[in-house]
Amino acid sequence: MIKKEDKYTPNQVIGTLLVSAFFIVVLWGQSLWVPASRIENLYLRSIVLSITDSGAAFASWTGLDKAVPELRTGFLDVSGLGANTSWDTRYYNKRNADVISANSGITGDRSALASQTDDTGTEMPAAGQPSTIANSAVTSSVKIDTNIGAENTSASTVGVASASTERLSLNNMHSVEHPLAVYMFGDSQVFSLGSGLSRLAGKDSPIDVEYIAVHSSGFIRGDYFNWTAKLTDTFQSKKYDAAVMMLGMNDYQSFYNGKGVMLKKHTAEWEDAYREKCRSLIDIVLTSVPRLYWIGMPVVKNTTYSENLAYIDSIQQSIIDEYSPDILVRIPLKDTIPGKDKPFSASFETDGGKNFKVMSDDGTHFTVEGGQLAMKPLFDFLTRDFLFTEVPVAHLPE
Amino acid sequence: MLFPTFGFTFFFLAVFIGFWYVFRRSFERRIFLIAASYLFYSFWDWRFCVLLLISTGVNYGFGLLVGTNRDHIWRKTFLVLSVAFNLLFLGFFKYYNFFADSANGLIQYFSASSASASSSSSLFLFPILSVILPVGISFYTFKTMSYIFDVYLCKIPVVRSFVDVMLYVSFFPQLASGPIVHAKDFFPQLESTLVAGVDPNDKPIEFNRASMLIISGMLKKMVFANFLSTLLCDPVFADPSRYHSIEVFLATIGYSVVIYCDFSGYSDMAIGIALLLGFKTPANFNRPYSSFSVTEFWKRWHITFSSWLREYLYFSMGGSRFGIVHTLVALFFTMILGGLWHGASITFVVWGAMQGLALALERAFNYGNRRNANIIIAAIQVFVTFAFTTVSWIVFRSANLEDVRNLFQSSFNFSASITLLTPVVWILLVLGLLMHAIPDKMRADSFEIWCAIPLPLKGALIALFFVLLSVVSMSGIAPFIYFQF
Repeated sequence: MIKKEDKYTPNQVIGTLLVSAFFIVVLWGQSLWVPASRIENLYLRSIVLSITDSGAAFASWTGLDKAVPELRTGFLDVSGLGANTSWDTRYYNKRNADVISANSGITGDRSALASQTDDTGTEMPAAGQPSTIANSAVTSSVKIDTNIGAENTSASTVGVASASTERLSLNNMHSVEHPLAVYMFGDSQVFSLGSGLSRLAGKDSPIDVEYIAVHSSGFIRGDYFNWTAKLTDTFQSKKYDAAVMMLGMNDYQSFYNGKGVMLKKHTAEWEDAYREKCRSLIDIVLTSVPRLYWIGMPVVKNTTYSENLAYIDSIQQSIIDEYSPDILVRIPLKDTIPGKDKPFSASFETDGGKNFKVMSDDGTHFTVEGGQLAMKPLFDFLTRDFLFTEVPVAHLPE
Repeated sequence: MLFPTFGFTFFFLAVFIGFWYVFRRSFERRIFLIAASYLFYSFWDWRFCVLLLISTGVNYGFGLLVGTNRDHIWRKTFLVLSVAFNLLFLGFFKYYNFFADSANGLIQYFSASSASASSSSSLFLFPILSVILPVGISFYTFKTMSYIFDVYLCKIPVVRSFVDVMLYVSFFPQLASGPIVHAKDFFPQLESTLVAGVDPNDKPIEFNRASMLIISGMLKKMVFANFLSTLLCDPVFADPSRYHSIEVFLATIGYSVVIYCDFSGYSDMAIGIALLLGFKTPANFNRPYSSFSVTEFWKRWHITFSSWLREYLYFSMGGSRFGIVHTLVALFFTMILGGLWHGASITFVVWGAMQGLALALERAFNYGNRRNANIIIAAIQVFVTFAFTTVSWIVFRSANLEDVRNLFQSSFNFSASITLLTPVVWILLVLGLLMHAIPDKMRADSFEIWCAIPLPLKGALIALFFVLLSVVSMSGIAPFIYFQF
C-alpha cells in the first residue's frame, strides 16, 4: 500500500499551482489569449491580455509552444472533427480577425448591390414574387480577405460579377428531388430557429434547410468567431438558393475597432461601426446567394436585455433601406412571437387556439416548437419567393 | 461566471490568496468569503444578490424563532411559515408565469364556453410578469430550508450569527448549481475550517482529492458532456425525424451520459474548489448507472438532492411509519415534487411520476435493496434500471410530451441515412458508460498512486492535463445543463 499524504499547506498548494502555471504558459503560450479574450470588461481584458502576451512571448522564446497547435491539428485530423463547426480552428479564436475584417470586406461600390435591380433593366417585381434580378451582373470588384490565421493564409479575390453568375437563380423550379437549398446561420438562437424551420419544412420536403448556430457569436467579436471567413468559404464550396441570418443577440457590447480605439455602446461611432460590420457581412452573403432573409431581434424576458436587443434591432433595421427588398428581406421576429407591440410571453396561442411553450426557461432562447412557429413567416416568404412544382406544406407543431 | 473559464480562475486565485494569506482571523475570513460569494453571484446580475440577501435574512429570522422557542406548537408554526415563505419565494420566480398562463387559459376557456359570459375585456386575467429566474435559486432555497429543518429537528443548534447563515447560503462553490449541502453538514465544520492554516505547519488543504475532483469534473464536462451533446444528442433531440433509428436510440443513451457528466462534472469541480478552501462537501454522485434498482439509483444520483427529499419531504409526509399504502403515496408524491423542483413543465411532472411509480413499485414488492448474488441476474438488473432511467431522461430532456412522442416514433425510422455515428461518438459512448463500471478498489488504488506523486511532478501533470484538454476541447463554450434549475 502506498503511503498517502493527503493534506498540504497553502504554500505547498500555491507552489504546485505555480509549477502548473509555468508549464501551461510554456506549452500553451500561443493560445493563452483565447480565454483572456472571453473577459467581458474591456479594461480588465486588456490588462489580462497584456499578461498573456508576455507569457506567449516567453513560450515562443522557449520554442516549446509549437507542440500544442500541432497536436490540435493532429487530433482534429484523426478524429475527423476538423470539419465540425464546433471544433474548427479556421474561424474560431483568430485574434486579428476583427482588424482584418475592418480593413477588408467588400471594398467596391455597395450601392451597386443595392441598386442592382436597376442595372438589369428589368421591371422590379413586387415583393413576394419570383424575381430574376439575382443573376444580374454587378460590375464592381470585390476583394474578400480571408487571411485568418496560419492554417488559412490565402487571400482570395472574388469578383462580384463572376460570383453572381455562379449564384443560383430565383427562377429555378424546386421539388423534392431538387429542393430549395437554404442556409441559415447565426448565434445560439439559430439552434432552435434552424431546428424549427427544418421541422416546419418536414422530411422529404422541397425545402432543404442547413443551419449553423455558433454560441455567443455576432457581427462583432470576429476574434471569437469569424463569420466573414466562414461564410466566404461556405458559399465558395456550395451554392445556396437563399440564406437566412440571425445575428445580434450578443452584440450589445463595446468593442475595439480595427485601429484599436474603443467604441462605446450608444455612441454614434459605435453605431456607425456596427452598421459597417453588418453591411460587410450582408455584402459577402449577397455576392453568392440571390436572396438573404435577415431575422430581427426577439423580445426576451429580461427587460433590460430586451431593451438592448431593441436597440440592436433598430440599428439593424436602419440598414435595410440601403438594399433592394428583392435581395434583402427583413423578418421581424417579434411581430410573430409574442406579436406586434406585445410584451414577452413564454407561451403563444395559435389561431387554432392551441397554446405552446415558445420560449425556453432562460427567457431568451426559443424552444424548438417556438422556432417552428416563429419561422412560419419566413417559410411563407420562401414558398412565395421561389418556384416549386408543389407548394411546400408547413408542418406546424400539433 | 462559469468554473472552467479564465475569469473564474483569476477570481478563485484572488479568493485563495485572500483566504489563506491575507485574512487570518475567523471573522475576517467569514466576511471575506461572503463578499467573494456575493461578488461571484453579481457577475450574473447584481439584483440576484438582493434576493439572496432577502432569502437569507428571512430564513435567519425563522431559524431564530424555531430554534429559540421551546413551545412545540410555535416551533412547528414557524417551521410551516418558513416553508410557506420559501415555496412562495421560489414559486414566484420559477412557477408564477406557468401558473398565470395556465390559469388565464382556463379562465378564457370557461368564459368562452359560457353563453352568459361578459365581454372578454372585462375578464380578470393574471398578469404575465417579466421576471427572470435567478441563477441557483432552487439550490439556495433548498439550502435555506435545510437550515430551518435541521434546527427544527434538533440536528444542529440554532445559528445566532447572521454572518454564518449568510456564508452558508451564499458560499460560492455551491451557489449556482449545488451540491445542496445540508446545514448539518456545513455548520459543524465552519469554525475549524475558518481557523485552519494560521499555524505555518498546519496542513488544511486536501489538495490530492481537490485536484483529482477538478480534473475529473473538467474531463466529464469538457469532453464527455460537450462532445456527445454537440455531436449526437442536440441534433437528434432537435429534430429526431431526420435521423436513423439507430442514431435516435444511441442519442437517448448518449443523453444519459451527457446529463451525468455535465452535472456530476460540475459537482466534482464545486467540491474540489470548496476543498481548496478547506470546506468538505458530501459526494453528490456515485456511479449511478451501476445501480441495480431505481431505489439504489436515488442513493447514487444527485445525492444531496435525494437526501434532501428523503429527510425533509418524505419523512415529513410520514415516511414509512403509517403503513405500506401511506409509504407508497408518500414516495410517489415526493418524487412528483422532486420533478417539479426542476421546473414548471409537464415533462418534469411526468418524469417525477415515473421515478415515484418505480420507487413505489420496488417498495411494494420489496425489491431493490440488495444486489443479486448471481452476476448474470445482477447485470440484468443493472441493465433494466439503466434502460428505465434512460427512458425517463427522454421525458426529462423533451420540451413537451409531443416531443417525447416524436422521438419514440423516430425510433422506427429505418430509411434515413446514418450521419452522426462517428468513431469519436462510439468511443465516448462506450467510455461514458464504462466509467460507471470501474470498481471502487480500482478508483481507490488510482487515487493512492496520485497521492504518491511528488508535488512538483503533480503540478506538471496538472498542466499537461489542461494543455491536452485544450487540444481536444470545443472551440466555443457550452453551458452547464443544471444551471437552468
